[in-house]
Amino acid sequence: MNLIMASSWLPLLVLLSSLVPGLIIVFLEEERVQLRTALNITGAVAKIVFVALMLYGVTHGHTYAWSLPVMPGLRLNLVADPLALLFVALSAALWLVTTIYAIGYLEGSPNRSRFFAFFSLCVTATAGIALAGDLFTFIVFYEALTWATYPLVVHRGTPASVRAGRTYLAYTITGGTVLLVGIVWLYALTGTVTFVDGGFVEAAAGGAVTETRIIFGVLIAGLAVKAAIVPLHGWLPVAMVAPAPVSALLHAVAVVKAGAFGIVRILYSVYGVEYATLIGAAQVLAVAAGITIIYGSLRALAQDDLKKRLAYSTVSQVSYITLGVAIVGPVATLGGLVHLMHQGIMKITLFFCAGNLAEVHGVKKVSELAGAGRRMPFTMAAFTIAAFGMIGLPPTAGFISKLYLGIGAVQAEHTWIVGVLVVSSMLNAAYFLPIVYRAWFEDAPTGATMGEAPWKLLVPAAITAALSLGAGLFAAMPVSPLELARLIIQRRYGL
Amino acid sequence: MTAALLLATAIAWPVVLTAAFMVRRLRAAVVVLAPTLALPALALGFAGEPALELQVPGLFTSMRLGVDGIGRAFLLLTALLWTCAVWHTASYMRADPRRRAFTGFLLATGTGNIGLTLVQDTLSFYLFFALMTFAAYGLVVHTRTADALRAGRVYIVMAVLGEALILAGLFGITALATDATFAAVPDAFAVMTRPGLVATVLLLGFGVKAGLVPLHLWLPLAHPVAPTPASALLSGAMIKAGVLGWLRFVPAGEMSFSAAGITAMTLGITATLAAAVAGTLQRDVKTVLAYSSISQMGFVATGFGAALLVPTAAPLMVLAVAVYAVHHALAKAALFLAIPVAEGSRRPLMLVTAALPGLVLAGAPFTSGAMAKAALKSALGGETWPVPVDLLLSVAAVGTTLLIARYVSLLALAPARIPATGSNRGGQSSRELTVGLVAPWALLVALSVVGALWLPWVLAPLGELPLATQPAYVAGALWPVALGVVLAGGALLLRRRYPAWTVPSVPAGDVLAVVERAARTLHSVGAPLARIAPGHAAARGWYWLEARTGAGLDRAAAAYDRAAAGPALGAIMVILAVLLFLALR
Repeated sequence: MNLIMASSWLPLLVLLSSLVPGLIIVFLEEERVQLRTALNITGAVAKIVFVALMLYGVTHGHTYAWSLPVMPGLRLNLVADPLALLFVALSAALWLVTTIYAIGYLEGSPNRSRFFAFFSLCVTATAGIALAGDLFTFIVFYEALTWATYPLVVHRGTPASVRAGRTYLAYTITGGTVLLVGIVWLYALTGTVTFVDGGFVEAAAGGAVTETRIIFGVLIAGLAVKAAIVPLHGWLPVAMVAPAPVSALLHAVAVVKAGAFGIVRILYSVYGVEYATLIGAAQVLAVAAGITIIYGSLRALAQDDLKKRLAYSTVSQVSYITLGVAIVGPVATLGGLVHLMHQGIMKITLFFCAGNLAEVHGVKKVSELAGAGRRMPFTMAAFTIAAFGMIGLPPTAGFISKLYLGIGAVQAEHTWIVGVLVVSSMLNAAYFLPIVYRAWFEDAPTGATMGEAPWKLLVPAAITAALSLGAGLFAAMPVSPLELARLIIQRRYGL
Repeated sequence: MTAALLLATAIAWPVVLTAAFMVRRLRAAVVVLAPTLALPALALGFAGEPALELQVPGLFTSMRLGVDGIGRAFLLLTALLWTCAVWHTASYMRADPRRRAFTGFLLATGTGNIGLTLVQDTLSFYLFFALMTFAAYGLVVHTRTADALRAGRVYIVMAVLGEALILAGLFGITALATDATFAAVPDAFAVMTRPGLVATVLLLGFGVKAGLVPLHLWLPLAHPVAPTPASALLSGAMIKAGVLGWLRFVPAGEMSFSAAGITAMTLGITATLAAAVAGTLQRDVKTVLAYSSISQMGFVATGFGAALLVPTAAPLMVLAVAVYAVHHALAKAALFLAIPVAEGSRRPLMLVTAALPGLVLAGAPFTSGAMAKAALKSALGGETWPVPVDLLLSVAAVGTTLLIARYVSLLALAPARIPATGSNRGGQSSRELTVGLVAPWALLVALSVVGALWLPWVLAPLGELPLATQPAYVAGALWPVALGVVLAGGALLLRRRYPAWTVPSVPAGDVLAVVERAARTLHSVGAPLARIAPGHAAARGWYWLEARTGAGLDRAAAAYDRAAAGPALGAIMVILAVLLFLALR
């Protein structure tokens, strides 16, 4: 047991558990449904087991590292510190439920081998981003994610999805290039790109304040594309034409999260929040996040297309993560980190449910939701829990996020952030409560089809809804996301 | 040990019932069991061992349960009202096709309301408070009429506003508190840079629920449209959750909060007077009672404001606020539950009985109302105030008496003459008087009338109540009621003599009506502007807004223009509030 736990191969195994099935599926014929399903599920379960083992090890003080020389002076470094585990645990858990959902969702549709192959590659890239031990490894997987996701966005092949794919590529490739420029520049200045708890920039190049400031701006501008920070968010609402499992992947598991996680890494392991605050960069980032939070909510308010409303909601919600880590102090960081997980489980629930509504009853607009609660009681119950979570009502996970962000803002004496959080909560209520109202308090139009989604679509939504509720209701339990995030904070702040 | 078990049951039983309701196969059984919702809580209230505490570490953010002195008073009133109202519901709702759904919302709301009296930490309080607030939406819109849906919209908008303000206050407290318990709240305020701001935010946030003018506007809209037992609970028990929020979150007595204190006193005194007038001019019996609640909550806000201003007066004030809360809860619930009973019988005996809690409310001598007012006045009496608070509150008591007279006269009217509202439209014109309908009402009337006998026992942990039997208090309690009765009699005679006179009316939702009227005017300014450049984003936004709100605002504006007394009363109210504010400042 100890041998497995201490194995430096675990980070690599986490990657391989989705890479290998993905590569096999590429060569699999379309009609080998059972084998493909078996490969997908085995990979997803294996990944969860490997992550669980690392989780156990890391909570007991162990750090996993694996390294591969690529060329002289350049290595791929995989490191499993608590922060990496937070993200990899989220993506591993959500990958399993999304895989089940995708199998049910795509039943009988064409090109499933292509879909699941890239789906697995996408998750592999995400795990790589999470476990990257330096900026070089990070950008390798970050770029890989862009390319692995593109076929999924255009999966349906309709003109609209091809257009969305083009927009997606234009944004993310530009963002990736900018990020690369930032990384190279930083390397030129400091001579290192290896992540260090609390950051290395100040120690390596603290004197060159202006230069570090500009590099910070370049790095964040590159990451802000995937993190959907205004005004670089344009691709996300367009990409909602993709199938529901892909939306789930974009919004909760991989792409948007990768951007947000990158920002967390920059603040946590490259610059350090204290130094970023010292040079005034963190404050600017916090303001940008605040603007994004309000702007996304305002835009969400006016959307009648359900998935578009959810997309703008993501724009708003993901910036909570950025906001949290951009404020100095353990509690705000805790709020931001825990929201990385909470936003994932809540938003994926919403997209699963939106997918069920569209798939089973063809309901795609908010204005068509009348009586949806009677038509699909379990789906809409899951949706309601997640929507309440997004508003931040207790006892959901969203409340815990908002609570710690709010406390952190007060402790750092940023009263304006309390204002942002309160206004955003009210806006969230303004665009989610009408959905809940339509579903439960209005009668379905006469002749509307009734019936719940098949179990493959329902169970994933039920699981993530239960997690959204449980993460808040049992927030003080040792295994909750809150406690996992607390572990990171304790390490960083030595509490 | 048994006490701890009782405490756990008191909070777990409503949760179990609510959860079981979600399971379709158990639903029928749960509806039968629903009246037992608050029985464990009631038992706990009577057994009540103060200082009892229980910690549930893994749950939420480490939930702490317990019953302390102030909690016990609110626990008892909440448990009593919920027991009586849910019992009453079974008969009241007999013919309603959606009675099961109503019971479901009732259970969830009750879980929140009972839970918030049993917790000992701010975060769990917020949890149960939010549950109560959002579940009660289902009670307000139950009939699904246009009026009910409009009331529901106003209710939910105000509720979200209130929750958001409370959340901001919660951030402020939790950031500086050593833990989330109520006990840690004063220390958190002691180290705050701007404690006054946090106190004011919390005053307003909980003020939405407590019906603090001008945040009260959901009350007169929600009460007439909700089924009567729900109105009784809204006005009797749930309003008090706002008051409990004030007492739990703002440490009156620890320091002086001048801004919050002046705000509470100004708004409180204004409410006692203006709401009494507005209520007397209503034509729907439940709207009359809604305004009565706003007026009575004005007394509570006045007392709480005084406690915020003068820390030394706080212990007495908290006692007075608690007496007021319990006493008003019982009387108001009894007044509401009389309405369905009156639909079954309008015999004089019934009407006289129904009026008794009204006299208690007005503060007739030897009632709990007189006791509550005496407590308030004796606590206020320790200070000199720049305004004649004492006299103003007595004038308000005259108003309460008039309002109750109006209530009785509307109750006595045949249903055909009562204007149709959401609650009785299409309903039965007369009800069968079953035990389940009458007994809860009779019980509440009895408890309310003899309140002066048992309230001191309930509130003993908080302090000694002043004896309301002293001649000065008796006289002080008697004259407003007597004057009110004389005025009401005079009004009745005048009306007999000149039947052509009509009573000027105030639109229900007063301040909201003004806001909507103003919005309508803005709309008419917007129309020509939008025509200049129809393609411009602002113009498109205007059309979007117009399509959604135009018709509703038109109706509201028409109703406002019909209501003759509205503007006059509004102007007087604003002038009064400004004068009070300037004097207290």
